[in-house]
Amino acid sequence: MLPYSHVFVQQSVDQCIPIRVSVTLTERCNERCRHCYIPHTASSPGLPTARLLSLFDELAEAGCVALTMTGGEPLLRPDLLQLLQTARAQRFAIGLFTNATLIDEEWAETLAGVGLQGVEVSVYGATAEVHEAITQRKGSFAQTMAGVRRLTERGVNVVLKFLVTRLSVGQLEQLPALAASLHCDWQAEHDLKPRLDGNTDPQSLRIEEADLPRTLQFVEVGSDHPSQLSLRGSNILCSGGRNLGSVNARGEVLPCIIWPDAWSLGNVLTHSFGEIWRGPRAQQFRKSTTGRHSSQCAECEEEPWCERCPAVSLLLEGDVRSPYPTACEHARIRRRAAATAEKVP
Amino acid sequence: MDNAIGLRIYAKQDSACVWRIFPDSGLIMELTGRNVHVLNVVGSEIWELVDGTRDVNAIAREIEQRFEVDFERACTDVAAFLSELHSKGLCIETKAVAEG
Repeated sequence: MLPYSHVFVQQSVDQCIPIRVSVTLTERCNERCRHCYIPHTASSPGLPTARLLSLFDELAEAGCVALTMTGGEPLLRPDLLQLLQTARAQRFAIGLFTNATLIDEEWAETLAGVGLQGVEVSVYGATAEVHEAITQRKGSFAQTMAGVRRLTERGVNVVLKFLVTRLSVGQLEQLPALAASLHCDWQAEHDLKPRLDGNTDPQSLRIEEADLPRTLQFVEVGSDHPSQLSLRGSNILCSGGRNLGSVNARGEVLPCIIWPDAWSLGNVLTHSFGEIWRGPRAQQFRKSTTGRHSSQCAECEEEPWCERCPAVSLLLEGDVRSPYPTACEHARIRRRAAATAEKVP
Repeated sequence: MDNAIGLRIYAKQDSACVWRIFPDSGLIMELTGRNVHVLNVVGSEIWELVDGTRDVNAIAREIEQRFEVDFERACTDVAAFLSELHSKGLCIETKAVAEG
């Protein structure tokens, strides 16, 4: 038996095995988060139960092992338990991405019995004031904390997903302490994406440049996932559409959750996931995201430190290869940090 | 089950694992601890046979036929592999039949 290594992840990228897939069960949500990439006008209730159940068969057949059920708020689906139980029987490692506000004692008991790999819960600050400034729903912080506690008390693995914004950047030290007090692991993200309709309002929450170095350091502590592969120095822009995939609430198969419908590889209401994943649009997408350089980046000294996201390039600049300001800033900071580290004996 | 696996041991995959088998490798993911293990082709074949219905002997017979190795070698390799799976908590002993 080989130790888990990036060799397998690289193979799954090369062979386009979608080992991790996110399925958006619904766009409906009981919060209205200011940073959310789903447009606030979106309200798709999601695919019918029967289609989701057959989709899980197709995902397993395609090689998916880690299945994330997300939203919107997935607990708003009345068939959620059936979906989770079926996916578990099909031997997926299931992640449930929720705001946890609807997890009462009964749901906590139920979720503990399903055998999830983990529940991921979005948290936007260490206090109600900061968290609710993002969710725009009074009382949501206390509800989320209560939901998390109910799960951890029953032994469910919960990961708090912190979003660092200009509102929460002053709480970096409190966030891990909050996770520890709830007996949770944590991960952090700070890179705000535009909405899928191109609306850039979420970017108004971006942290100031002066806060970036310590934020990047904070984020990198908790961000490692075994199936993620650093693409710095590789010849592809993104592992989305290769070993990562997504199916949105309208059935569009996308390279990952933040690609707009216009880049759909196909729709599972008319074709099987496997047909779509092997199909011409998927192949065309992979071709279009092979080769990292744009003419603007070819000579850039920061390129080896650049982790720009082609979907964000597309949404902000209209071209999957274009640089965008935050990616350039981050690459500059990483390069500087690497140079500093080299000087330390 | 200790490290010296007997030929009449029956074992099956632990229910706290999920897995997928690909043409030239296999992937086992633990639901607790989030560990991931990669199998080669032979390991993948053995893993699929560790379903509680076959003892080490029977699994080795299958491996002997599928990979054209001699039976003794197959027994040694299967027993060693099951020991490793067991030590990592990836399979559980279901029953042991007295040898002899």
